[in-house]
Amino acid sequence: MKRTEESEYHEFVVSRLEPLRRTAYLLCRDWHTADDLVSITLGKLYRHWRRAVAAQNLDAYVRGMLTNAWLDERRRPWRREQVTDVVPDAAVPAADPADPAGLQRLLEALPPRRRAVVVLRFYCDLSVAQTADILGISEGAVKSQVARGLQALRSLADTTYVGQE
Amino acid sequence: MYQRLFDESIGTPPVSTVDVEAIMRRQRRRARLLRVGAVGGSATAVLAGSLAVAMLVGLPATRAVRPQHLLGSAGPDQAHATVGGAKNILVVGIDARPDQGTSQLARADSITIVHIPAGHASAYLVSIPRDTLVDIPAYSNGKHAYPGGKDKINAAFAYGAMGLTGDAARGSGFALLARTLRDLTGITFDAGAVIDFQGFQQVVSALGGVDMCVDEKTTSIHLGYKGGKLVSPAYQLNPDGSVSRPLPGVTPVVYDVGCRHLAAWQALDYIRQSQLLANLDGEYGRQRHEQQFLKAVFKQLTSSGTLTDPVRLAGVLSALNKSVTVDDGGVPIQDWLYAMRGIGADDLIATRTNGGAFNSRQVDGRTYEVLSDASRQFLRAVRDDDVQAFLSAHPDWVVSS
Repeated sequence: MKRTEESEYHEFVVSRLEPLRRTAYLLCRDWHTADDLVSITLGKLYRHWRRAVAAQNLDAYVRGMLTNAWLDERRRPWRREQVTDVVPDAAVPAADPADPAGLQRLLEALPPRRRAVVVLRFYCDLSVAQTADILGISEGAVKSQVARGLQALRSLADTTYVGQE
Repeated sequence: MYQRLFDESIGTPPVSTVDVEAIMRRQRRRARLLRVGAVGGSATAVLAGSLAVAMLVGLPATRAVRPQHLLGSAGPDQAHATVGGAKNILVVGIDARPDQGTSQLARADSITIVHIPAGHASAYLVSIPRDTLVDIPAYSNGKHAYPGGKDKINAAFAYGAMGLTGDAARGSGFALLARTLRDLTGITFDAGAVIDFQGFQQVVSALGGVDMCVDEKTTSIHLGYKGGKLVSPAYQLNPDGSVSRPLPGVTPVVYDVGCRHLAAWQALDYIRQSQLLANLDGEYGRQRHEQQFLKAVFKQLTSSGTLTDPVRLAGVLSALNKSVTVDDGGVPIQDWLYAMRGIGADDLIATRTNGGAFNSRQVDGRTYEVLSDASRQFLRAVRDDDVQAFLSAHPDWVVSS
């Protein structure tokens, strides 16, 4: 990497660090893992900086890398499903408007891909097409994955921010 | 608007543990290591080529070469050895045949000084003609004492090794050769390597041959075809060692001008030839071919095809282990590699000692080569790390390609 590229990289990374960490946290629900994922992503970004800069939307590109880093990470043996004596499936808890942590619980309850869709679509504010592109799935799949979380999100948002925007 | 909702639910994130500077440092180092591997690593084309590989594979290759004390008193002050500054590495090619008994002397068939200027951005290959008449200092290796005297420089290796076998022979032979060269040129060597060319054929085999350019039509006196089979030798020799005529029924192997892929046996045979070269440049043609070969091997060694193929790599390393002996001059091989990481195959500059022309002299009925005044000046430039200036004044001393 040339010196000018390096300073561009540095500037970009520093300005996007916090949003990236938040996105990673929403995906993996753990700050330590989130920081790991961001580090992995930034390392990859350094290696592929030229290709990344050439992309249409650098932010979307980096978020794609992050999401993929997380999905990869989930495939690692120590993150695979474990046998437990408690039934893991449970009803999605109703979001309580008075409790912002309810949103976190809601996310927690979503399976990984659907969680990724929700985070990219609503937290990162990407379009259906962009989300589909990053995850390598069809737009229809994005829409259907989103549908379930959307209702709960909307009711929560409506009650919390009524009249503010 | 959802974004705010999410942000709110996240609350205040803990202090970031993402260390951007460290990530950048790591990636920079990684890029450098890849460069060492992919483009090239360091100086002694062969020896270090193997080592560049080593950095990527971890340690196996630094184990694959056998560091040995070769330089003797001609080496640097080991206690203060560093990789900074200009470096000179002595690389000696010996032609020890497997069936060779201890009574026969292994001669240093090729003597190359690898000179690395202080910037560590390039390396010059400087050959010393093996028939060069020199003063060989007195030397005792414990088994045999050589009283000193005038002789061809390649004899120095043999005198030093006399009476010894294996690594001990190589060590002593090398030490006397290094001392002779130091007396001749004033150059002290910072590291050294002995390459056994017969064994080196296996290295080239493991590499899958080598791509190189034959720059003059060369006829092998060693190998020929008879009834579709490869036989050796191809030519009869006169009692004085000169070439007579092909053996009956044998068609000698011929290397035509042009760039091509040479199999290991072809490459090693080609660089051995000095008698039937189209341009009649004899020993100087051979030196040039040898330098071109070293460059080509270095390129091949450091090509990604070799580095990414573990099976091939393992074969190359094991063959290197059998055919190359290294004296790291008190600096760990990894440090050498790191210091020389900027030198790629294209930064190896082959040169023509004596301008690539014979400068012969008859002494007592034997023909010797002597170093021309310009060659002595050239070697002084090597000693004083001023080669660039010398070659600017003597552009025809640089071998193209």
